[in-house]
Amino acid sequence: MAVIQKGTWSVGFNEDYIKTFKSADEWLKSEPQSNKDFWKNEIGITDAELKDVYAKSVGKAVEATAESK
Amino acid sequence: MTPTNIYNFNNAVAPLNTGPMSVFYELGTIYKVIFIPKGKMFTNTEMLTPYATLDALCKNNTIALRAFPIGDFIDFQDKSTAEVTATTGYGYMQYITDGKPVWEFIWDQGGMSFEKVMKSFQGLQNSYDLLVIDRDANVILGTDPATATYALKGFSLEMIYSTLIKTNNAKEKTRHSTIIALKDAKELVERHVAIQLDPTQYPVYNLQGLYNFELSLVPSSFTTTSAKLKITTGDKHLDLYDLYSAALVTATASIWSAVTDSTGVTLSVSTIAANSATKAMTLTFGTSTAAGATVTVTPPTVSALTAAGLPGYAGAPIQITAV
Repeated sequence: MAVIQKGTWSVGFNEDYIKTFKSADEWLKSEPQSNKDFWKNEIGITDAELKDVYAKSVGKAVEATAESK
Repeated sequence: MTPTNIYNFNNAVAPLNTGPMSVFYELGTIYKVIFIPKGKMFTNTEMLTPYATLDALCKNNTIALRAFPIGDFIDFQDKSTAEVTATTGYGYMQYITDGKPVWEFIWDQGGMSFEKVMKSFQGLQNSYDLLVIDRDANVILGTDPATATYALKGFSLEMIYSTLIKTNNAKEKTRHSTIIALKDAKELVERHVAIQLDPTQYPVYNLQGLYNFELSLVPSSFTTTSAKLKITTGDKHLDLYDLYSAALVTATASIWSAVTDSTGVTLSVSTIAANSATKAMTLTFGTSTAAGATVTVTPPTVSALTAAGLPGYAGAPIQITAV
């Protein structure tokens, strides 16, 4: 389970769900905007951390691909 | 043609021998009882490890298949009904029928919260059978299923109800009691099965029920894509946030489920976020729900909660409405 700690928040991500997407971008595109706003604005999770969560979910190291840049 | 499905009503049972018994079973203090699903029969194989079998039954993920130990009793009143006899016109006494075992169990542990639990079993005599925990002899007492494959079943029940509480009178603590009537005295007297366990390894009074794990929605917090929940024990008497939020966050969010009631569509739970400032858990859903729609959120199963670090808890689903 990927967990991110931020201040008073501790967030666990559903890896089984996230890894059903082909890429981090596809996952984040599918998420409702309000969830992304919640993670970023209320908790303070960055885009890079979300992509890291995706990478952990699919079991591979984060690769800064040309596409992600 | 030979008729089928005709029972043999011959009651000419041979008397049993009457040699003095140096080793015998006598019912001791009933410390607990266990409601088991109606008709549940324990196989011979299951009864090779009776404690483990019952313990697993008490923790079954499916509530309809679960057993519910009740106790610890602090007092007991035998309210059994008398046998029925009659006197004929010529003055001959006749035995008509057995009395019914009716037991009143008095308890105080759990107080008003457990009163609510016990009330939930009232009238469910057709849904459960009963096993008796005899603490003195460390025995599980039930009745004989009368088949070769099975070793034990529970007593059939005729009535379950809880009496009105006896309120604290400054001399005695508030008392609660539950009355249980068995359906058939023969199951207890003539067909009882007493399974004795080694008390040093398997003290049967240690069999206990699950704690209620209760979800409640922070008012108006279900905003079509996320919902903020408080997690408490039953009756909301103990906030479980400090004890278990970390375990729930670490456990995979996939062990939660959320289904839109009107469509049956499952909403994937993408994250569980715990906030120590509000002591609430926020679930985010991978897809939006229409405002006004009702969603049933089901917490992890008993085994998933145990794996997540919350052993001994069972949660009930909660319906929440999107605003």
